[in-house]
Amino acid sequence: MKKMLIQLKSIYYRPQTQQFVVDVLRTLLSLLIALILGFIVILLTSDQPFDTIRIFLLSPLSDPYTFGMVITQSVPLIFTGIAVCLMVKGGQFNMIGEGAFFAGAFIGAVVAAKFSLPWFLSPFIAMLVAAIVMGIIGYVPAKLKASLKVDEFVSSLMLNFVIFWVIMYLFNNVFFDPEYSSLATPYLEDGQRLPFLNADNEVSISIIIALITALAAYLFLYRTKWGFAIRTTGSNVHYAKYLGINVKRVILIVQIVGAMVAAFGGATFLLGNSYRFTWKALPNYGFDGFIVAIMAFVHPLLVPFAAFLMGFLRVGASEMARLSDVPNEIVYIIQALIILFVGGQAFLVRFKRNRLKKAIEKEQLLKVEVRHD
Amino acid sequence: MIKFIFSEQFIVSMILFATPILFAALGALVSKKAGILNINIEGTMSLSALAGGLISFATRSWLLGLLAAVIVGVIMGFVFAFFTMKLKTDNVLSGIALNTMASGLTVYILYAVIGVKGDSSLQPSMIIPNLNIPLLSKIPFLGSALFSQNLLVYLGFLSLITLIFILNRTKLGLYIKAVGFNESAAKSVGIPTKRIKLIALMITGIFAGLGGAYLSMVYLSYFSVGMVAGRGFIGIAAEAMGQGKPLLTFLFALLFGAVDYFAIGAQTVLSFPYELLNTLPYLMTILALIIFAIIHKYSSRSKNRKDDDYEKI
Amino acid sequence: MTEVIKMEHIRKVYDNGFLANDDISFSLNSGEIHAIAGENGAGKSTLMKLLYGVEKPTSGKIYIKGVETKIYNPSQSIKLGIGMVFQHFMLVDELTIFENIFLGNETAKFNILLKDKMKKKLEVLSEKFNFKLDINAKCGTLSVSQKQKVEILKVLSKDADVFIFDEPTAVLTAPESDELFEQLRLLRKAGHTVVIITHKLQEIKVLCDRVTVLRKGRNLGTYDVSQITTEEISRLMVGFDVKLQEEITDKKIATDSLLEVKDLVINPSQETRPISFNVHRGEIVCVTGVEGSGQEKVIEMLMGLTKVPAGTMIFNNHEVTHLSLKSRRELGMSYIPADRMVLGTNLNSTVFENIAAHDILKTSPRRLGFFDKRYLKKAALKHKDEYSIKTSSMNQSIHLLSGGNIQKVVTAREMENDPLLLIAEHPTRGVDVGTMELIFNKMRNLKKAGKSIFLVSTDWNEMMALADRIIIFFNNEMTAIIDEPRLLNEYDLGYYMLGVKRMVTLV
Repeated sequence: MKKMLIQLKSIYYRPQTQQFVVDVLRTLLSLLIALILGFIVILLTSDQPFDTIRIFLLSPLSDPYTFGMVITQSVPLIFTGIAVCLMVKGGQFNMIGEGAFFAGAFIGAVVAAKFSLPWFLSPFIAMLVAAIVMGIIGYVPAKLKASLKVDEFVSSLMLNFVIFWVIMYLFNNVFFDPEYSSLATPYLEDGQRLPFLNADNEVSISIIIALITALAAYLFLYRTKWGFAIRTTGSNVHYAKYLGINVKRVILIVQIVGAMVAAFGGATFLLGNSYRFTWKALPNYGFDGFIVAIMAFVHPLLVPFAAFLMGFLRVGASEMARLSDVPNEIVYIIQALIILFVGGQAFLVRFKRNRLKKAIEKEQLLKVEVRHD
Repeated sequence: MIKFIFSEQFIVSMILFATPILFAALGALVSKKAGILNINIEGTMSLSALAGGLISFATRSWLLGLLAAVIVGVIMGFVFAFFTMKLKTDNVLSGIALNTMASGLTVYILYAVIGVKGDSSLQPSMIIPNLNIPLLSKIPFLGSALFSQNLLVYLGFLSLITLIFILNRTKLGLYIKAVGFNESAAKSVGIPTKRIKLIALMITGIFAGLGGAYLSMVYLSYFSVGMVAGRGFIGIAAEAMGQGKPLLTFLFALLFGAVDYFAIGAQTVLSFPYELLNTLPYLMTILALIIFAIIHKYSSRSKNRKDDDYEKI
Repeated sequence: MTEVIKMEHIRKVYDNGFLANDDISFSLNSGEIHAIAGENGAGKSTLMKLLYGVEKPTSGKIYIKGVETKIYNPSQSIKLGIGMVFQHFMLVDELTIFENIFLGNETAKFNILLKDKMKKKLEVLSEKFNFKLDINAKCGTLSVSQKQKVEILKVLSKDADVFIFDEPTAVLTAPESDELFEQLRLLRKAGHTVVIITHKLQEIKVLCDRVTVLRKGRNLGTYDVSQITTEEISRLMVGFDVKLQEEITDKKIATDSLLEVKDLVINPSQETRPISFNVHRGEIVCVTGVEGSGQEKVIEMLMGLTKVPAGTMIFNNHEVTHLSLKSRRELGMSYIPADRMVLGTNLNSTVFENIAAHDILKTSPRRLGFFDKRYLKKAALKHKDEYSIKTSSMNQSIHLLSGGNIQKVVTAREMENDPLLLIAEHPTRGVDVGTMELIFNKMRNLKKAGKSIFLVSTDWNEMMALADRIIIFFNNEMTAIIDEPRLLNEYDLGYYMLGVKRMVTLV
């Protein structure tokens, strides 16, 4: 028994574990501070602050339908979060996820409506087409960065706006359903959409696809040699070159793949939960994906958790908006604050350093203990 | 169409439309000079626009509205400094997070104050007035463009000149440049680098505030969610192409202003789909970035730079 | 002559545990030019950094003009009259000379710079000390020697008494050095005190009044330059060491050439003799010289990190002069860089990924890119044991390891990569004696297996234990190729390294 305790303690006091523990604590603390600040804002502006806060925090769990919304809302965030993970791990701060997701959804809806194939081949083909198209478009900022060192952040942001307007043009003038009362793409029959997992709360298999994507991204980044090349390039480019890694190619590919994943996600999300494409503005999922990725410490396996958390906050906020006098935009404020504190490396850095020091000391002591047995 | 581009109205509008971009660019310039990557300008402009609109409506004074916008800008600069310098959150991350927060905050405050989420059109702001300089504005062609413009346009010119003066002739300007070029060298001679960076960020805030005020108090007479529409980023791009030279930056801001106006004005003159016209400012920016990068690549080749070896991404 | 600075029992240990100064006592007289001499790593820069306030002593006292002082930062030391001219200039390239000189010290009213006033002050100083510079030129356009002059003016304009120079002639040509010496003599004449950190014997003899020799963190004494010979100084600097057991290996008559370097030029703007040498199979060639003598650049060019201005390199019958680093690795080169932390490792990654990096990248496409983690981990653990790498787990973040262990990781990775030619820079710098023996053995094994090693070293033990041949560099040229290292004596080595002697056959 004592041996087991020592074993556990030795794992706990390992520097990596300590680092993980501290990071988790920091995240929770950031979450807490952000929520408190958000609550202060609610207190100041709402007539019934405590009711409002209660709705915000508890409503997502209150009934299966709302919980289903949380899951559904986390789907786009998982995809864009993974896209960002891939690109950031390669050292690229490319924001094309926003436009790519939007384009992916549109292309997905349009292509799927054109075919009627058995066994859900339609939606899958549509999703692939969306990914391929966006891969081609995503080549632009990627190539510009790789060959000309054009800052990918600004170029991708600008491209997002271009993509948006081009799609709006196509939407308004070419690919719309003339018989529908408002602007929308043609109706998607059951065989053209992704099926629901659970018809009651409208959770579709898109969540499964999203989770598979997250897993695939993890395996790709951490178990393949290309993932190794990507992470090394993003982490220490001099070392990457020293190893002989073709850094230019990595920079190029990682941005294209990121765009493709985001587009794929857009198509998946739309085909999983909607009957038509009706968006008239950029849905902001791309930027949210960035936030999710940061909250997940840019690790693909943690992205679903962060996405779920954000989905939770989002749904809570929209319920709150529906049932009370507080608009749901409060959630953006809270999210931004979470990021700002979590990303703060100096935030509690002294705490972190002391813990690490203590951990290394304790580790030595434990080794002595073990030897005495 | 040629007549359209070379009309007097075009030049007037070009300068007018360039103004918010100029302010954004000047803000980006100051931050860049201090060595700070500041993406926060977009969100700051949004919040400042809101402040300007609401305060001017409430106080019935455009001056107070303008002041409110500027103060909000400075506060945002301060907040950005807090997170990036004190908590050491990455600049890009902070910029994105604060922009997100700003977009949420604007809607939230709008709703909290006037109960509507889209825009404050029912609570129109006080418009910042034009200033007509009597005789000079009568000069044909350029007269109205240069001397019969909005007050903020003049402020824009003034800001440009003031910034040039500060950077070239004052101790503060010199310190900002020193910190931006070589922070460790600056520290080694005793310059308070953190304080200088903070000041630079606050100046950026002032400019962003002025840019925001323009949007809700000149361009439109109310605040509308999303009205900044990327102008903060276009300003950043203009600055990037101006390569740190204020006058060149001004020219690029004018260029973008022209394209911005063209996208709108051309809709009546040409029968070209408005969505595609809207892509012009952004395409323009990308094109300009490419040209700039090409020039940079080949000019530094000729300067015989050392190979790719230890370059940063 | 009054004593202007005294340092007593100074001890400095850096955060990573490195003992830079070990009980050094030293005093400086006013109006003299004083040399602090020693090899790299002897502790000279550290000692002066303590005076300048960039570092603080772990223990010991500093007296300025007889008063015990604690120096906390550079501003304080400037106020005390101490000015340091660094080897790596602290100039802002984009600003003009005049702006740089007064940076942090401007004359201004209401924040507006009074440029004329400052310019006048500068003119007076320039006149006095014979500087001929266009004060409106940007510092980035200046030559190194001119930049140095700007740094001197910077210190002068702050009214310093004591000038400390860190390796001032390291970046100057001979005529520029002479110009600098004139300047320094003018400073001495005006009553200033000058301290020069250097390892160049001629300088010391030509310029200085007294010399203090440091070695491995200790002060070996202060001497009147007129009373000591260069040979004696050199002996103190290079010193006697406890020699480890040298293994007398069979010296094969080298036949097969693995690497041929012909007419390599390091600095095209310098007039130096081109470099040519061969490395044979099964041979260990050691390159040595004072830091910056050209051997580091040769390695960079060999590995493909720097472009070759002129010359050719043929490796294993392939011309590699302009090949990419990746291709060179594929042809069989491995590289242990001097900068292990940035270039040789990814500190953000795990021990496993650092050791197995090459194997991971070589994963066959048949496996769809998935590397065999279990197999590679086993291999990594084997290396860990062989090289005695102390880490609690393979998955630990490598930055938590001690410097010596990180070095072992790099060494293991590059040596176990099956190289035809192992290029190594100071492979046993910073490791303990046991590991040193281990690395020596591994290298001898490589040699027995017919592989070659190209080594940069300044460690006598290392060279004597390993080298079949030694090439000595000075000033971007070869000064000697030693075919029988056992017959080399340390003084000669010192002379070749310091450019005092040159092998006739190389001319």
